[in-house]
Amino acid sequence: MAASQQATQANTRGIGPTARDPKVADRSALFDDRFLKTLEHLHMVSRKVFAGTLRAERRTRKVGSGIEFADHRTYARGDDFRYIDWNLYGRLDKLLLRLFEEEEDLHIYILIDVSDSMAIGAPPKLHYAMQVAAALTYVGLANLDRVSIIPFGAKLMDRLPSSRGKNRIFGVFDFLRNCPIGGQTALADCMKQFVTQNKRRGLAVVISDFYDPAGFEAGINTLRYNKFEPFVLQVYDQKEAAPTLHGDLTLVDCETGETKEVTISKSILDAYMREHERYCGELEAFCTKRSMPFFRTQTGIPFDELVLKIFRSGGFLR
Amino acid sequence: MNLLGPIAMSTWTYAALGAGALALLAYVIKMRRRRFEIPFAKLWERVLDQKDSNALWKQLKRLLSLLLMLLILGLLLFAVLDPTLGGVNRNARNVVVIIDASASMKAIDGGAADAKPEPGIAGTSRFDTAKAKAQALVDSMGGGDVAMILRVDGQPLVWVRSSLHQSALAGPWRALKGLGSRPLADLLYADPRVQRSELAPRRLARHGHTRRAMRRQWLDAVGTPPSPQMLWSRHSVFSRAGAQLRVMELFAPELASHKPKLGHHRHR
Repeated sequence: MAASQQATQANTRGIGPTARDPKVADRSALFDDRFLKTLEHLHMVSRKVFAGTLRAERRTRKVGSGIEFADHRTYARGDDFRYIDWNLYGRLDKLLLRLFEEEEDLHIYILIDVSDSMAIGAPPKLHYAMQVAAALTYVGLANLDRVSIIPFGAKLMDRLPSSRGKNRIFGVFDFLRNCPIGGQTALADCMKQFVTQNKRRGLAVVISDFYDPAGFEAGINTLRYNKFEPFVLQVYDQKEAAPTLHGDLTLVDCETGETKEVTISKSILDAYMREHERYCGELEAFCTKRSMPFFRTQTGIPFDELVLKIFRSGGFLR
Repeated sequence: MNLLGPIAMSTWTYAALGAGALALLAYVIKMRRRRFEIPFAKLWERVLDQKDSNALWKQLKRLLSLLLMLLILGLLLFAVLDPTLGGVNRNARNVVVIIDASASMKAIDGGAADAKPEPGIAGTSRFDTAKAKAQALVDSMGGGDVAMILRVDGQPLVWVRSSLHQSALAGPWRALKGLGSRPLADLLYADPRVQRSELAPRRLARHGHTRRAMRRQWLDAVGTPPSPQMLWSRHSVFSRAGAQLRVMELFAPELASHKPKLGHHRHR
């Protein structure tokens, strides 16, 4: 089995970039000085965009031990006397408890698809996704949120544990440079695994091409049902949306190894383009119907432009 | 319909088989599809499901391309055979065209007497017209025909001297001994037992045995060395009772300046 898979890999090598491709695997030049400058710029812009609304802390619906008053409730035996509102007791002769909003850090989970399909494209979608992930992480870290990066393919890979503070960004770079890549996409399984591993709810940014043979719905729904706030970011390559193929081809799925024999004609290419558009449209409709922030981007657009667009739309941090 | 092509049928058959095999090979190579890696086969699957109704036509189209290729190849090979419609007399004709090159032929015809010929632009002389007619005649000849064009004016152009090798004077060609001052042609063309091969034009090497022999004999006969323009000769082999006699005819300087154009003469 493994041998046959290796054989398929050897056959297809050199046709398109794969995760095995050293060019894709080499991510050393991904986060250079220019990238850092762009990040700093993004951070400044983000401060402006979020001015007045952004705090290091984030209010939750939980009531607890914060400082801002939230509500009253009737005293029950065992409650802390210190929270009894004595003024009200004097006025109404009832024991009521003052409740406060609990404040907690926002947890941002950046789920980045590192499957084989992400290795396709020029530049590879994976590199683009990693740059966007790093930029979002930086802004999150700088805003004192807890950011965690979790690469996934067929299963969740080793994560970058939650960290906080701008100075952690170099750790993030190292992590993204060295994290293992490759494998198939199994969005639903990965999300299931993710929600069981992470009990602290928060923002779950999913950066992927969403090319999952089993469909994207189950995975995203898993996040929703477990009270995470999914944030969907679809990355695609222009060549995928409008391929420039011709002649008789054997198309090989880079993840499953499935082959399709096809004689390319203009009508087939047109049909494919429509189909691709439809698939992306389905994903978008799915997200917008459930009021999840959705962004679709092709790798040709500079990543900082995308990040700014995300900030301006107000979807990333509220 | 007749096939006048210069290629033997067996050679042609081999060539046709070879070319056909090459075409098939090219087709088979073309059939091997390139592999191309795609990120998501499901999208293509959806597209191909829709397009499946065309699959038969696609297959047919592939086959059609092969058939078309073979057809074009067949037509090309057929064209090589030089097919001619209608009955053609396969008996080759020997045509001698004699063009008068005398002074009267330099007159210009066609223009009316009052129309002054513009200076610098010469009209068509009778000689030019005659040349064009001869050319048209040669062009219209079949594959087996042999044409000879003679230009006739006051100056002799053909001068024949037969020089024979010693060994030719024995055996079936002994009769050459008694030729005397008669032209060689008397012997060659009068005898029904003499068979003549095809005429072959040949350019004389500037330095070589034949050239030296020619020079010596020309000097003997004329008294002056041959002109360096004397480059063209035509050869034919006569055989009589199995013995062969090669006859080399050398074009005299005046003729040598009119090099025979190979394209216009078909030699069978």
